[in-house]
Amino acid sequence: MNRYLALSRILLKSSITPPASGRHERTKTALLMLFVAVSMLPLVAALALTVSKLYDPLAAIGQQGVLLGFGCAISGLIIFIFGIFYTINVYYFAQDVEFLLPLPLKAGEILGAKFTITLLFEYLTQLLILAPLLVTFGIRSGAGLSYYLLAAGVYLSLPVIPLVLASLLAMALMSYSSIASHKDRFRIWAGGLGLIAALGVQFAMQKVMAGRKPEDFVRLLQEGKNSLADWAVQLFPGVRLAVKALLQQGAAAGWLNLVLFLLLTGLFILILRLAGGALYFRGAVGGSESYAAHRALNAAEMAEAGRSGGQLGALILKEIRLLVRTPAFFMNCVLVNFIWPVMILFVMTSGEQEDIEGLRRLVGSNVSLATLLLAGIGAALLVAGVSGASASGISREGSQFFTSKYLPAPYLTQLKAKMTVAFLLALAGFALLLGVLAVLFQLPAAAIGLLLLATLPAIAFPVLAGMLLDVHFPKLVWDNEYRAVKQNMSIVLLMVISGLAGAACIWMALRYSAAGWTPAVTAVLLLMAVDAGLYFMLAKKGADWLAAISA
Amino acid sequence: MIELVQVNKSYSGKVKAVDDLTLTVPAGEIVGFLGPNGAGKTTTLKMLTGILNPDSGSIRINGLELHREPIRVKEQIGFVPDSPDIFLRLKGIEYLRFMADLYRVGGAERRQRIEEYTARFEMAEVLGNKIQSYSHGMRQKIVLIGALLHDPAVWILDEPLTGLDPKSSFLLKEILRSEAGKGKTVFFSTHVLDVAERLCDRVAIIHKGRLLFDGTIAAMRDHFKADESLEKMFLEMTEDE
Repeated sequence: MNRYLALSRILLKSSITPPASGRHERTKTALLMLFVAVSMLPLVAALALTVSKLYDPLAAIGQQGVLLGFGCAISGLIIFIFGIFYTINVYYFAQDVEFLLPLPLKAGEILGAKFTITLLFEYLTQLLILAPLLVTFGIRSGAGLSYYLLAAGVYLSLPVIPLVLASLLAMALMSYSSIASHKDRFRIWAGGLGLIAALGVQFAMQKVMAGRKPEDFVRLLQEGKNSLADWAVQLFPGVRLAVKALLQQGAAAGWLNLVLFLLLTGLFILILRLAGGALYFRGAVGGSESYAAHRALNAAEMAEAGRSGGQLGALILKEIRLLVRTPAFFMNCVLVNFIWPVMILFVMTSGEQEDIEGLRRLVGSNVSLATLLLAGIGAALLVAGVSGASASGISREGSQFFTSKYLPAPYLTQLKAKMTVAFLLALAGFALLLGVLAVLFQLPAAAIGLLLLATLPAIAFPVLAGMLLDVHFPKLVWDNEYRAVKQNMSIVLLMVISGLAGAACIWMALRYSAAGWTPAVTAVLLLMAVDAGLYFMLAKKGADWLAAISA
Repeated sequence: MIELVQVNKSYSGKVKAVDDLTLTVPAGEIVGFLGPNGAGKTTTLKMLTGILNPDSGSIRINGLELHREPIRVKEQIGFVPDSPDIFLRLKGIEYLRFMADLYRVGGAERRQRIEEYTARFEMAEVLGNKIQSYSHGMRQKIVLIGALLHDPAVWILDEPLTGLDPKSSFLLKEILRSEAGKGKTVFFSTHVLDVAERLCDRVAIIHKGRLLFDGTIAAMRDHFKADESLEKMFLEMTEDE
């Protein structure tokens, strides 16, 4: 077999978590995957519904193509932004790199196989955004077979160019700087910069939209013939041909555009191959080197080392240190708790001043404290639900999970340490968010204090539920820390559960704003009862569940 | 003292990794655990330390039943796993403090032991560095020091000499002898037959999960009725199976 294909096959096999050993375990994992897939359906349905609703009004003015333009552009943009970090992790920091480098493989073969695997995972990402868009558009436009064939071609080729661009950027970064010797520090910085870049893109897009004169849109709208789609595809290069192919589906021009798009895609692959041949080994060789000048302890540090502490404290400290120092964990379990205040500040500073003033007046005068409390509970559920700290608590241990088994700390103490850290991180993130909101909306200190107190059960819920999920479905087999948190079903499931609960609270806050304190108090009591139930389960059975996990 | 009585362990209900193993490691003795790759050595050590649960049988450490009093048993054990790649993002000193806290080692003792062992194993100069930056041998040494901090009554070591430089290897063997002399129990797996021959009071040989031999080297020679090297006897024993 061709070495590229053989390597791709092996990498794909090792990327997918091997099936659990027992039949019971396999069934459990399959059920979890099914549940996660089903829980994604509302998101897919909401997107399909939005596309369907927008289709008619846009089609009436000949601008329905803008849906495809925006959809493809956004899909490409997401793949590009996340692709930069993903490719760096997979190409350079995965544990398999050290095993592959001594093998008689060309740079292009290793890079090609890794690119292929990354691309396959991007197809899964597209399932959530691009697939519902293409299918709904096809149904609403009454398209024939040729559209679906073209759409399949677009679906398969669309992520290639953004991923090639991300790969080229990753290779340039890794080849022309010394950052590869400081892997962790680089990844933490890259993660922070990525977050800022993502927010920056959003900010820039808002500014572009705000900066565009209304007359421009009117002119584009009046032109009809999908001129808005032309404008949309400018947001991301290379998408224009794909969109044109889909819009001209009935004619030969559609196929011609697809062929041109495929040729362009092929050209990008060729560029990647050439650049990879020249650059990949430069960044990959020596990637495992870890720079450190010897550092002995001074007398004060040694005296500090002599201080004894309790088991729970030691486990909490270890947990925090590993979370903060492991880039993938830092991004997904620590930083994610603190993005909300930054996002709010971005939104508030980039929005129109009049709108913000209006929002301030609304919150300041018309919204009752009870409604604010219920909305706050919803927000707390959403914020704490996004953090993977608790839902990956066991998974993060990976191949060193066996240490949990031989160290003389009760299993429940180990679980408590993980939950305490997750709770403190979520609480700190939410408190910061409240602080920012308090300043922006000039909320009284008493209201903030009450909000913080009332949202404690909402913050605790994802922590307890996440731990319960991860102790049942730990993802301990991974070759890259990134996978422990990014491809972890427990985290996805927790996001869905907390997201739904949070959305329900916010919806109730809006719907029953005149109902006084009853909905808010009910939500707090309900969450307290659920939390107590979850804690009771973990305290009673958690140790047994942890003991049952094979090391 | 370590006691294994009719211990069984199979993987996925099919592959029998340990088959009806009965073995006693008395206090004050160094017992080497030998066997070819995949013989069941690591599985046995993992069961002794609570990492794996046996399917059946009983495991007692100093008279305490492991499955009844796991924490008290674990507190008595100093365990060195086969891979030292653990807690790589902690600094050396942070790892040692963590271990001392978990094994409840008091302030004065821990400081004295950290200073003593890090000096003896020549690790004092790198305690402020992350374990990630250590070589394989240095990682092995920091894990070893972590396992010694609570002055364990029972030592269980999985291939402890792998990766150690000659000086550290000699030092470890010295410590093992000295601790056994004080009445501690030492049970370790090894592939290095020379080490077993020179260091151990007794050897236990396991193959395909079953105990083939348990006794002194002299008893083994009697068994083979020849003045052969341990290597030759070991090969004959495991080839016959």
